[in-house]
Amino acid sequence: MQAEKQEHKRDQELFDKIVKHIGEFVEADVSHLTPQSNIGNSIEGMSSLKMVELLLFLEDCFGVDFDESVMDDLQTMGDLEQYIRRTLDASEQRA
Amino acid sequence: MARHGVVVTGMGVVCPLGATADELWQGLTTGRSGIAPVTRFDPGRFHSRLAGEIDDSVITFAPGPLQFETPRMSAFVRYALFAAERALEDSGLKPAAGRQAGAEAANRPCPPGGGVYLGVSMGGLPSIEAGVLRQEQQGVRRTSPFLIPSLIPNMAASVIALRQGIEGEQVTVAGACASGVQAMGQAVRAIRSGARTWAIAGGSEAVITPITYSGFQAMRVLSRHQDPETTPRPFDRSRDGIVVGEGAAVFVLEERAHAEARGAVIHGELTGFDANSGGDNLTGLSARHVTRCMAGAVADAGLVPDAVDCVFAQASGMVHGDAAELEALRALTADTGHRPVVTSVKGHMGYSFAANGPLNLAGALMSLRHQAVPPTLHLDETDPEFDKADIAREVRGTTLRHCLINAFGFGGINASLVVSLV
Repeated sequence: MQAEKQEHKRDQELFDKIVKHIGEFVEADVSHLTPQSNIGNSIEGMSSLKMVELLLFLEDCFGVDFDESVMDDLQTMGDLEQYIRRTLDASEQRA
Repeated sequence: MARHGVVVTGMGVVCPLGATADELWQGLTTGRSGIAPVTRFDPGRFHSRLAGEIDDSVITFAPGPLQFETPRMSAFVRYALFAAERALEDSGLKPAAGRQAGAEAANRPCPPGGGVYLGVSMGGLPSIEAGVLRQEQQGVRRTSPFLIPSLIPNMAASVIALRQGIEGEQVTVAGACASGVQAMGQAVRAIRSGARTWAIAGGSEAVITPITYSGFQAMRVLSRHQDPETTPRPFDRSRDGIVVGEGAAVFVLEERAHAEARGAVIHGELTGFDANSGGDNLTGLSARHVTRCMAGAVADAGLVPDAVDCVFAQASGMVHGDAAELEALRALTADTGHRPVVTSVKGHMGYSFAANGPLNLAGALMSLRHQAVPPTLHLDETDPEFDKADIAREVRGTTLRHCLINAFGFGGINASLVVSLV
């Protein structure tokens, strides 16, 4: 139970961090984003080019490299959060 | 059928002398140089370590369409957009940003019937160079998806059209250093024919990047003088080449009756244009073809060569180019011996490629307004070969009705405009 709570807190912190970085990237308030939000539709002015640039920006923010084939499948903020979580965990394990 | 008159109702300028037509004029007439050591990269390995750079801190944009994309565009796009927005404000075709409903008013679409005609020579060369370096150093996948859109030469005209809601044609002319004048000529023809009521037209260039210096050094065209107070020096006997500059000059052109009907301030009328092909090998000026070009523009204006009061020359400070242009001018007026006042603004600002001609036009429009010709900077000792030419060495107050503007490009591209007092 405790471990589950901790994991939830950790996920929430990561989600908040992603939202913060997206806000920096688009220079706008994006606090309305939830895990269910579609990345393409829920951020004003998002385009396919911006999406690619955003992922490059997030790579820099989190110090990881995303897998290009997976990047195309990221639909929701939740997908993004989970993918970054997995990438960070894998990176930590390698370290 | 009588052709429509084409007048200039808006001016937008950004150059090493400033970001308004008034700053340009003040810099030209006070003999201020915008040339200084290169700051955009370390130029230590090149013969030329000088440039005419734009102060990027003044390049700002009101909130509006493409707000995210604009900062990611190569500098020539940003400078063109900045100049175009100043020209639109100046023209009164759209409310200025910050007034009335602020950004909302500024973002209203332009009136119908307009088009965009921009000259760009080398486009996003700095972005290409930076993109190659990033790819090699960080890997292919680190290339920005905005790389290609930021550097393709049409993007200056495209961003202006898209951001301003201009729905007529957008045309980009790539004619080396004649591009800007060629683009303005296309706009003039479109308005004359009735195809357009108004247009945004001009030129933009920003290529202060190592590969530019490397390429031009290989061609032996860069000035080796290291003191920014002495180079470039058009028409001077010790001239030795160009200094790279950057800039944009963009105008609102309008069908004359349309402008008069809305009570617009008219800066001048574009009465003549001509362009032709013919050079001395791949990159050299041919006096014979330049004479043909100037004569064509003067005839298009319905004038004779003696009516030309002033010439804003291409004169970049190149040994051969300056001589060929003056030889061409001598031939143009050989029958009567008429000597129009000749000036070059390159000593103030350097050589800004596609923007050369439009910056010349901005200078000429200000000359018509003030009835004065700005001096050719750094002209200390005129080349004896040019003793027959009347070159302005100081500000010359004189009656000005018609100015000729020249711009010539690699590949034997020659273009001339005549701008007249209204």
